[in-house]
Amino acid sequence: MPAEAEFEGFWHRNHASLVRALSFTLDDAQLAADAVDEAMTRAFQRWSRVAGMDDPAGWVYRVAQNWATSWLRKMARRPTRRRERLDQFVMDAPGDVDLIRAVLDLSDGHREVVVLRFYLDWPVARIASALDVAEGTVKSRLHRALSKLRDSEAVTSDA
Amino acid sequence: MPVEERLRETLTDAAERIDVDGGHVDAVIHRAQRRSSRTRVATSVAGLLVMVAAVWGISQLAGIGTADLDVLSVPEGAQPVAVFLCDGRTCPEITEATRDQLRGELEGNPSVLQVTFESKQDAYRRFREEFADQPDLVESVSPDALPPSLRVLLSADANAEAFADRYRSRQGVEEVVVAVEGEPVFEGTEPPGPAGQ
Repeated sequence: MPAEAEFEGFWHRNHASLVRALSFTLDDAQLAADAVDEAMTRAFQRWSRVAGMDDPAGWVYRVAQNWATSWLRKMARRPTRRRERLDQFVMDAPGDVDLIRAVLDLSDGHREVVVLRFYLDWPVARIASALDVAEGTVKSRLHRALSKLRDSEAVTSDA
Repeated sequence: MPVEERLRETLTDAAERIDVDGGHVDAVIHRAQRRSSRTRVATSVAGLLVMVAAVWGISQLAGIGTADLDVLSVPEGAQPVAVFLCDGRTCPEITEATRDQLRGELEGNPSVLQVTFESKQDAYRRFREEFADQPDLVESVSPDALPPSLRVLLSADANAEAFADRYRSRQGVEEVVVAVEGEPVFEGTEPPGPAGQ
């Protein structure tokens, strides 16, 4: 299959979920979309290598996340851009508004592993490889994140 | 319901509410193709040195010193020039004597404000730091790829191009790059926006 057709298939299978996952991680939908575009561009530039990887989508996620983080650092002195936070999107959702709010209140690192594990459904090993951290690190972040979420649940349900 | 299950449902539900426009894959492909034709210049040896020198030059002008290059204050208009030395890759390795002689000559030049030597190892280390946000670029450059250099700051009134020409032809010098002011052209510096560039 020619590279373009293969890449288009990859895009259609992964683009939306990667943008959504990264939107949660960054709590910024527009930056996430731009970051995934950037990472997908780089993926196509080196498609034969990326396509041959064990986890091309994991690669795109990491490149996008790194790019967004570094972009935020560079732009820190020029706060002209309005951030597209997620609460405006998700608060209208039927169902567990409190849980979403609790997820958005987590620290970036905790929120990220929760989203990769429970929205993208990536196993711990895949998360570790995508983020280039040890599996133990992922497990302990998940553990802490879940216990924070359970605590916030306990508080709100008692109210 | 355990929190894990509720998270799965809730996150999926919430995620669906985030509007994603996925119809621009063609624009992304075109953008990649345009960059690849530009990057072909940048990944040649000469192109890599230009990029490295340009990023270094900008940090000098912005007054951002790195640990090994002491920049306390850069005089207004000072021009950063990188003199890359032969290390056997593309020209016979410069001898220590020749390097010392070259350095002495530069230091004696009234237009030269500062000369600092950067070893191959230092160059590679700094390259990894400066381009940390481009993991693929970093991966594609081997630790051996960057030559040692004499990093020179020329006074504002010096003719940097003439200086570069003069030293470029010297034995033991691989290349001389006059770091250009302004944004270096390499991938990833475009501000975020729709994939139209």
